[in-house]
Amino acid sequence: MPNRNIIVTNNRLFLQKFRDKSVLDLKVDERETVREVVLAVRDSIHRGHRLISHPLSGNFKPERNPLKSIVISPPEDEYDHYSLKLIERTIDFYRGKWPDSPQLMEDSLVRDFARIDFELIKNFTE
Amino acid sequence: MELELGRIFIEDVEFDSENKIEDGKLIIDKDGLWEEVREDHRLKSIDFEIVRPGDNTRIIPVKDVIEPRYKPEGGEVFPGFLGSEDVVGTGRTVALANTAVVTTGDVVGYQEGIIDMSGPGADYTPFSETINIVLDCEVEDGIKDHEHEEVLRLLGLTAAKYIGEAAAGVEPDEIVEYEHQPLLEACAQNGDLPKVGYVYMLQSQGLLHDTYVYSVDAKEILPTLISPTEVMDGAIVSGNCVSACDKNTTYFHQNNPVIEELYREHGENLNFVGTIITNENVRLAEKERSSSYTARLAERMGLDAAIISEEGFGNPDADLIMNCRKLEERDIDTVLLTDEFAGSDGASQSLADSTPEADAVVTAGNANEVIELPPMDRVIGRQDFANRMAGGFEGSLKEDGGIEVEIQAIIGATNELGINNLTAREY
Repeated sequence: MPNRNIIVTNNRLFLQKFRDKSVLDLKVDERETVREVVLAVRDSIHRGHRLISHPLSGNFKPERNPLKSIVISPPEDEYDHYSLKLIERTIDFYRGKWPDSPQLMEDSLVRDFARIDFELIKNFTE
Repeated sequence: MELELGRIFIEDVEFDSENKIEDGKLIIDKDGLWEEVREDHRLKSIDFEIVRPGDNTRIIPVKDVIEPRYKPEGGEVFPGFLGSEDVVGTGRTVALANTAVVTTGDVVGYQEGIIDMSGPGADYTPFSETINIVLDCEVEDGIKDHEHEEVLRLLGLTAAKYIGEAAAGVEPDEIVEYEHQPLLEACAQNGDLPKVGYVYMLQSQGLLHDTYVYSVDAKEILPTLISPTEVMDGAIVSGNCVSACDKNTTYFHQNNPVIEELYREHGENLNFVGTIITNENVRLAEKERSSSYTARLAERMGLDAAIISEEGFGNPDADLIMNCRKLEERDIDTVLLTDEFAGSDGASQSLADSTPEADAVVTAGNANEVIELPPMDRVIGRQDFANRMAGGFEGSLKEDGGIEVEIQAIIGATNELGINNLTAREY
């Protein structure tokens, strides 16, 4: 049973740059879409994981950002209602307009999003 | 604590060999400006341009906008960044009104915004009405994102300070005095008028989403009291270049309309007792901490009511709602200032979070409204970024140079301090 926080992400920069796993576990699949990442986190919340980071990006137009990184806790005994509320609101906020897979977008644009996404979440490893 | 804010109303700007103001005309020593800013060796080149209201000109992408300022009695106009760690908000500061320094530069291609000086887009930005000194900047190869953002930020501040020095020896056209009394005096004064505070939320999510208070990263602060005169006097600087429509440029921090309006009402309809700055971090625990501490400060100030302004959208909506709920739980009435992401038809839920206590909300407009911007004769910067911006999409940039885009991409369009003119009315 893991006892560390977990980053769930489709941003491959975490694989490339994040070496020290002593404080966090990684669940990285760069083939996943934002929708798959968000739904995976939703399912994890039902299984007792709690949100550590807010699942909604700040200031990004949701359907334009192909990358999503969310930090969750190790599983706890009971599910956290507030986490469930936040993830469901996040799903609502996309209004069915989920971004394309990063593999279908222009490389330079994906690199821009990847760097900033990494910067915003990497603080959780410090 | 008293600030005398003087304004010189500039009527035109030109480049010449000397920094001065003559008969309403600001003359900038361009060579001197270049010598001043090039001390940052990370700068490769700058194109200096002057654009005026009504010009058939587009500036894209915009990094920041700063008002040139000068302190005739000495002191720092951007403390902590330029010069010493001065505490500001007192004495005399002079603003070169009707002018703005605008920096452009592509740190990342998708978030910085548009200023149109004429046409339909001009209505959506306050900077179509200022004479803009535009610094179109390139940095040395190999500069990383953090440094690139820092280079542009410091460039804007340095230029605004240098240009502001043209005000030396010039008597302002107007001087307005802003007094900020000690808290106990402020509470004892004005009899039964309601004690109103201002909760000023600052964007603080990380690179390109940051704000600085006396050069301290707002991510690192606990909510704190700050004098409104300090806010007006350069204490807060923007490192935020995301979501053009509702980011607070440094210019907006220098000219915060909420603070100005509260001062106008002070002693008449309310007792403006103080300002609390707080942040908008990504970590949920930090959102809880900051909102709890903000509510504690508001309670300790004895507030009857508070105006809360947000910066940005998305997860900062959670901070806004937390602040609202926790102040209301302490019987402090709240009014929220925010913008909306309600879909192109305006029919969807506007915010990513809500609470029943948020029943007094002023909207600064719907950022998802789509606008057609015509081609412009002159483009300063990189027009092809239109496709990548927040609010833009593939095909945003037309062959003729026109842009179809959400107003989200226009600087200040739905600014949550209310500096622009969009709102909603119920009939």
